[in-house]
Amino acid sequence: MPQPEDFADRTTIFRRDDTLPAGVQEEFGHYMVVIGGTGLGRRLRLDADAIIIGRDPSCDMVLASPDVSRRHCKLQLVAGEVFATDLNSTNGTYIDGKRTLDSMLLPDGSILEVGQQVLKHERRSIREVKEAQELDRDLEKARNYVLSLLPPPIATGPCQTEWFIVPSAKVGGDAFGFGPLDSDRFAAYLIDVSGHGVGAAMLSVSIMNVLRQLALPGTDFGKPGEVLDRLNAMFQMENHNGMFFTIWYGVYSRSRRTLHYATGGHHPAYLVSSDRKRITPLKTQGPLIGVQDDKRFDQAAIEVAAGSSLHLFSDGVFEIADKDSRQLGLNDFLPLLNQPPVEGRSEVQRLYQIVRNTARPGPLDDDYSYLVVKFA
Amino acid sequence: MHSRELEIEVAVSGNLARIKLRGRLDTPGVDRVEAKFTSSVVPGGVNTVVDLSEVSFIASMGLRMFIGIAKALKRNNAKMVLFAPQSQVNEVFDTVVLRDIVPIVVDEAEAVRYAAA
Repeated sequence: MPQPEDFADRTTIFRRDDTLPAGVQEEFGHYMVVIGGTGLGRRLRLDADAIIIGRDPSCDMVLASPDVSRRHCKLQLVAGEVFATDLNSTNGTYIDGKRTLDSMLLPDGSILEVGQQVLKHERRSIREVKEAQELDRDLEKARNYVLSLLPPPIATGPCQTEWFIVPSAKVGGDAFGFGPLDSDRFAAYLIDVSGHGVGAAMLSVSIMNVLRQLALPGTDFGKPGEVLDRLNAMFQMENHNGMFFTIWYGVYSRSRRTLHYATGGHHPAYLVSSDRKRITPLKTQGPLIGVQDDKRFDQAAIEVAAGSSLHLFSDGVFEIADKDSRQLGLNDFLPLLNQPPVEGRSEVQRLYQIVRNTARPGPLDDDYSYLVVKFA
Repeated sequence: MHSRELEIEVAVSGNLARIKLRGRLDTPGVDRVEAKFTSSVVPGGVNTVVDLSEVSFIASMGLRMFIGIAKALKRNNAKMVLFAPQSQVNEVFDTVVLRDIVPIVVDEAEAVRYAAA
């Protein structure tokens, strides 16, 4: 029987030579691309006319964010260079982390911050940009499909949920799900496939579909250890292009007020008491899913007090570099769970806002996924 | 240290390869060193010890590289042993229970002994 190709021994891929014929001049343009905040991937080409960025609908680039001034800053192309001028905005305009005091050069590759919005200046071939836009449209369809598989938040009932997801690329390898198994039991899980981008997303979609449709033969989905045993058998990395994943999977029994859970290579989820003073890590010692075919996964249980919340998230939430390029970890993040709620913001929005404000400008390094289940 | 690009040093002597990594084992870092790492140890099936004392961060792609190479070496009856991880990297190894697949020890002498055993 042929063995699957060892992923550590891949074939080199040669790219087709599609450079322009000799004598044909490549045309370049200057673009501002949204890489942080709302409207990720949005791209605006700069030409001879100055463009105004702001919140006002009359601006050339409208950023509908409360921390962006109505007319925030101006960008202008002068002799082949782009200059940014702050228009007396409330929160300032920053280039590569420095506040602009006057009209300042915006070099190719530099980062422009306008409130929470982060834009990158790119000088690129117009032909390449058109090709990239076609690819972006395809990726957008893939992203919409992945998002369509995520269940809507639950606002009422014994188990209420809210979530927030931001892939680091157009599509990512994080996924989660939740829902009733029967009238008493409620399941929730989060998976994180190694790497990110399209390859990881394809595997995460496969896993999510298996879990959504309860399609693991002979498995009791109320037993987390058994679910992980079966997933491990089904998704061995040698059969999935060398990819593995981590998972946290839990089942809450309403009548017994207990939560059974199991982890496969995932950091703990946290049970947060209603007063936010007590935070209990929930983790078992299961390895990564798909790496060892002979592994069995243990499960554990905990009693759940009324008003407690389960916080379930991917490592992209806490493995971030801050504005001073200091690498942060789980212990830097956990104290945020003790902090009080913020009026007008859901818990997942509150936490994302803090992480986003802490991280250096630009997209986060990894996919960000956060699920909260509140037990009434 | 965040922006430091991953560097690799390889020294092969007889049936033992000493690998030294420096920097961040994130996706770009792995892209930079994986081919050299793999081609230096897997085809020859040599026992391999990896010095992680100057690796400041590891992401899932770094884990994937170690697991892939360890499995490929095992098929060639060779071993890979990691040693001297920094505390933040060691926490990741604990979380994913990597020790079940790849031995992790304190120093080079122990790693060499373990690889030869």
